[in-house]
Amino acid sequence: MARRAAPGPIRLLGPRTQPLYPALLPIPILCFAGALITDLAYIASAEMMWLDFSSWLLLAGLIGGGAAGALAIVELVRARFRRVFLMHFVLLLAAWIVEVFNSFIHARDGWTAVVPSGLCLSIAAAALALVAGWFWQSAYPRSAEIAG
Amino acid sequence: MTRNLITAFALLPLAACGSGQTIDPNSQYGADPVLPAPHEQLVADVGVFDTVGWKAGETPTVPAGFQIAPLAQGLSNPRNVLPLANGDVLIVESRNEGGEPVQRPKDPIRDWLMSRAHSQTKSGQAPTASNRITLVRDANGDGRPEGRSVLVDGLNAPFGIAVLDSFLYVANTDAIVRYPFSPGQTRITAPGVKLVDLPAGPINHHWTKSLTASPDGSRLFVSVGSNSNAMERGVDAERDRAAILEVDPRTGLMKPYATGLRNPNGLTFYPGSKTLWTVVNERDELGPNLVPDYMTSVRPGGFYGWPYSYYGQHVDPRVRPQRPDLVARAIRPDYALSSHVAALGLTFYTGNSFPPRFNGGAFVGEHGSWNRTDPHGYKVVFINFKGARPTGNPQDFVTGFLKDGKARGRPVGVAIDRTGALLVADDVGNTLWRVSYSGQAGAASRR
Repeated sequence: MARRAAPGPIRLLGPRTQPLYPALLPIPILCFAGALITDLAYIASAEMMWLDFSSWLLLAGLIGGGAAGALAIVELVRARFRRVFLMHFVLLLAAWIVEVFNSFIHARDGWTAVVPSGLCLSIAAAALALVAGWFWQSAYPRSAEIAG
Repeated sequence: MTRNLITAFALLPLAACGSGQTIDPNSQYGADPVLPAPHEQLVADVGVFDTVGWKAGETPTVPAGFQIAPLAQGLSNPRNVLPLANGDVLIVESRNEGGEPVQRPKDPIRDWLMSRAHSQTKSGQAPTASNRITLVRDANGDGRPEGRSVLVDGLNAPFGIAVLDSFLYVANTDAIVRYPFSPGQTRITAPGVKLVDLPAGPINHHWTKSLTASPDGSRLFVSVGSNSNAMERGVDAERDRAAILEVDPRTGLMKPYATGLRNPNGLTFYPGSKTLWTVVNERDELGPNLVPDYMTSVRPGGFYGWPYSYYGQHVDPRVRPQRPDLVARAIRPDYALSSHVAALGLTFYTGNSFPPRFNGGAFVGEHGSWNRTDPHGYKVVFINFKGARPTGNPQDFVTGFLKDGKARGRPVGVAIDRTGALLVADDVGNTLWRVSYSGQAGAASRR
């Protein structure tokens, strides 16, 4: 039940106590970190199932991350104190771009879908996404409460 | 939307990166093809061409002295052809119904691309019922048929057929079925009897089952393509696949004859010999100039590499766990046809109406490439044989299937009829073509 914001501090978009962005943000972070784990499982087992899991996790992360990123752009425009939020956004965007390339690498038919470049990209993107989430912790209070 | 889909995925700047596989295009023919290092592009090259069919009066091109004309038109995805001694020609019309289960996000994208290259909605010949065998009768051998009938229908994606001991054997995609049949019959009403199940199942990636009988009639040989490009569907999906199987036509007992053949088709015994030959589609997505498709004689019990290695002992980097024990005994095939040509048909010239240089040579139907931007195949080539071995480069024989970036047709199965004319099944053009020689007096001439 979204109500129009009463005069006062700028809030994140969405219902008053359940803003949308924090609900979407975990999707790319968890999917990208999950894809790294399933990549490692594939390397350990050479079982194609794990490569399939990685491919789907990357796709889900790109879709969820794309939705979160689109919303993040809106929040970035609205935010009063943009610097910390911008850091968060750039890290998340970097993770997303890396995973676009990683999805093409993961479409290969077997071992070379992961070793070596797929794994390297998975590590990089998972790290970027986790750090992006970490930055969010400081960006969120500023955006939601201090901003305004 | 009638533009071809070259580099349909050129969404990314990196897609334009070179293949790193620049080779002389003539260096991948014959016994010793140049094999560049595998190059897995970020986005695999895709060159798929819209299908437009043949307008009235249009035909493929044949060399001077030869003539080409349709023996049958308005067919529904003709994939293979078997001429009989009485002048009847059996045409196998075939379509594999149902898509493959989606395993990865790339699967629906690939299926969509492939379906564009087979679409017939624009060819002007609305295809309806397929999966049947159409009989065309040309009793006087002039290339102008007197009759046409559906010999048998209700088949399940048939491809190979053979007539042996008053039976017609049909290799459906899931079983060999036989029907009582005597040449002259135009309609089979008796129910088919299943001889043996063939590997099919829900994936059934390479679904064409080629079929031939041994010269003494004691055995059938059926080819079963792999269920994947390079075993990415897992090893369990490949049971009895990527192989040529030997079947006892009396009992249905079946055993592997040769293995490691990714997608073998065109099973044919070399005339006057006990040597089985096949054309094989090799693997994709290792670059536009890898791996060459090939034609080879088949050694009983031989292993030809797939999926662990290609062209002998060249290890495929994608396949794990590796099998050095199998790679060590992988046989190098006889004759490379160049990469991605998609050879699906093979026949040897046994007639006597073509010039003598054709005697004993091979015609290969090349359905055409998708995994390279510069198309390969889309033609029927001729390969000279000397002493029952292939020699020299392939020579273009029937061409013009691809014109101005559109596919008017795509050749599949090839055969020699009793007059010595070459028959070509064209599945996109929905036509059966007949190529005859008229370069000298006395040969049958048309129009």
